[in-house]
Amino acid sequence: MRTWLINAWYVAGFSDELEGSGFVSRKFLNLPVLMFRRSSGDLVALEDKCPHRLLPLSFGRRVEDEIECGYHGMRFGSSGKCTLAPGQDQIPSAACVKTYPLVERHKLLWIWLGDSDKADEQLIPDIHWNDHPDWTPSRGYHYVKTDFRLSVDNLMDLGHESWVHLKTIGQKDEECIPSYPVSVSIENGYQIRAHREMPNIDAPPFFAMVLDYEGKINRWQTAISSAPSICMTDFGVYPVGESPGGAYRSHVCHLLTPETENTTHYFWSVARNKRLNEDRLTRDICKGISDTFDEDAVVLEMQQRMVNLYGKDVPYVAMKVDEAPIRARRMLAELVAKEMTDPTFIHKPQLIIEDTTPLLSMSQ
Amino acid sequence: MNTKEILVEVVNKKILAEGIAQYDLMPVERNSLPMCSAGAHIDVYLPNGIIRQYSLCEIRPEADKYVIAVLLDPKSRGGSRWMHEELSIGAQLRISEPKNLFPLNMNAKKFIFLAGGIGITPILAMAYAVESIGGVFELHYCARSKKKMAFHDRIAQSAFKGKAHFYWDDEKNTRALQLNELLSHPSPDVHLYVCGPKGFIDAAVLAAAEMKWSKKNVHFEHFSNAAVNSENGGVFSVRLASSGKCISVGSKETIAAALRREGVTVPLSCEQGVCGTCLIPVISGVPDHRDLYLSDNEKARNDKITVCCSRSLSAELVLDL
Repeated sequence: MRTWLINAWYVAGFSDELEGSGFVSRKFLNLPVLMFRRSSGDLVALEDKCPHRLLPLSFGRRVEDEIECGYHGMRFGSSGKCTLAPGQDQIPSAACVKTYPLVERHKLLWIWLGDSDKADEQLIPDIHWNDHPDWTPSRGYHYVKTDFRLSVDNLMDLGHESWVHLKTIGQKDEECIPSYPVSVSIENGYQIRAHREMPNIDAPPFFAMVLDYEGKINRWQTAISSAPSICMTDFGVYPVGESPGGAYRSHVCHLLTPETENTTHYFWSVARNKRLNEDRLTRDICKGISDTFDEDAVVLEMQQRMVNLYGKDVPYVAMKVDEAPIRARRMLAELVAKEMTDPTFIHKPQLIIEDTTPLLSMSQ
Repeated sequence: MNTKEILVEVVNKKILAEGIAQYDLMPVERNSLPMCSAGAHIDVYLPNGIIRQYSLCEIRPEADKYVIAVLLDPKSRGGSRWMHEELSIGAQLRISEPKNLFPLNMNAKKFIFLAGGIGITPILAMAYAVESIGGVFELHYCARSKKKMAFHDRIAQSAFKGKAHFYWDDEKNTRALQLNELLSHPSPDVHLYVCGPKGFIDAAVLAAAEMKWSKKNVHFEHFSNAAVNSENGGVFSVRLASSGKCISVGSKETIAAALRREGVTVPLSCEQGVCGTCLIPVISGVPDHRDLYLSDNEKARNDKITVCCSRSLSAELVLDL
């Protein structure tokens, strides 16, 4: 049973990865892809496979706006057609490679691996926080050897922070995160939200840094899963006694793209609404978040190995923290089943979050 | 019969407003009814197996009768429709002892009462209770129209008429309720009590949050499912479709535990309604879904139940076991 949607836009990378005259090769949904930007600025995504002996084209080189295979020198243009077959005049018409729609939006590269006639750019999820004057992003990438659904599970269950992330964003003991009630809701049809408020807590190290404040804080976090594979952690922190409208707020965008059933490209963009021009802070956040996601990767990869070893699905015995992950998985499974049974079905992603201050029940 | 059940007789039934009937219930086998406080409700066990919760509209010191008011729901599946069409004076009914999940905080120095439509029922009892001890309160009562407003004249002629404000949707000249204005001065000593349709409660709770009310000072009760949050709940039975065997489920045990007691094992995993492992098909009866697994649409189909935590709204559930 397929675990992902095919007819959807997935993040293929950051726009600036295609600067210069090289190319980037990555596998998405088990399909090897080679991407480059032509000298005209247009984007190209080719199947990374020479039709001759199936060697990855990325083993070859880029010659101006064409790719040359590193085995026998066959060249392919951005339309996928073979333009040169060394040693022969006749170029077989079957010698062409598949192309995929590749679009730049909000400084992200978006690829469509399904039916190309369904690739409507209107369906690209809105991740404007990665490219907007009111927000400053810190960006990064992790390659995680895990089923992307385990990553979604992990992002929808933030209760693990108190054990996995004590050095970065977690709280322990009586302030451990699962003891704060979480409210789970389904928004816009296909988004799962898990909202939690933590009033009057000691600031974990990462939050003390971004607030530049050591005292007690109020903190909210809303984990959002937007099918098929984008998650957001919306968090706000502010000193106790101040108003949530002035909170330091972040939209942590987790842009997951399955590479294979058991490996995931994890592009992330952590946009903040305060101290926008402090480059040092941008770098410190990159470091803090990168450390945090390293901690996640350790747990996720171990978990994947055990899942493979025992051949069991997880959660094996569910805990209360699994409500949102389980709802998100069921939602995805429903969408995949629809896509497999109804050829006209296309999932339309909704805006993930409004930027207005959320309604909080915790007092100031 | 559950020993906590009380047999009552309908001694009075009258139409209060369009689609709303009042019933006065007096005990049959005893002289008085259990005492309770404003905000309490009773479960009414209808002969068709449906259980409905109704708030008590007044708290009588002599505890001689309970007064409830019932809105006819046009989509009724047999609850309010049966009450309106079949239940007449002289008829007998089984009810539960009163439970109060919506009690007044008597430390408050002032109360704001907000009622929407049939949500007036517990609020009316609260207004009387606070008035009787000389407490400070305001009552704001909204309805679609004056014709649909139960107890309007009674409130307008009461000792607290000066504290009551009425709002109707259908008359242009009446002032609309301005929630933000009404709730503009939160204080630890002021408590808000809201009852009515879900949309009404949501709007009031939202406005209170916007005006920075502390959650501790905002109290509400959804009229349609007053008892859903009670710890366990009433007694009912499950019938196994394969054998016809009937198993009663006690108020403090789960369906799964009752099944296990009778030697019927069902697979369990999380035991708190998260994972869906214990889903069992329902052949008849109306589950009281308490899990976190099924979506709202799936719950509305009433064709599956998580037996680790969900219960029954009907007297019997027939399970495909």
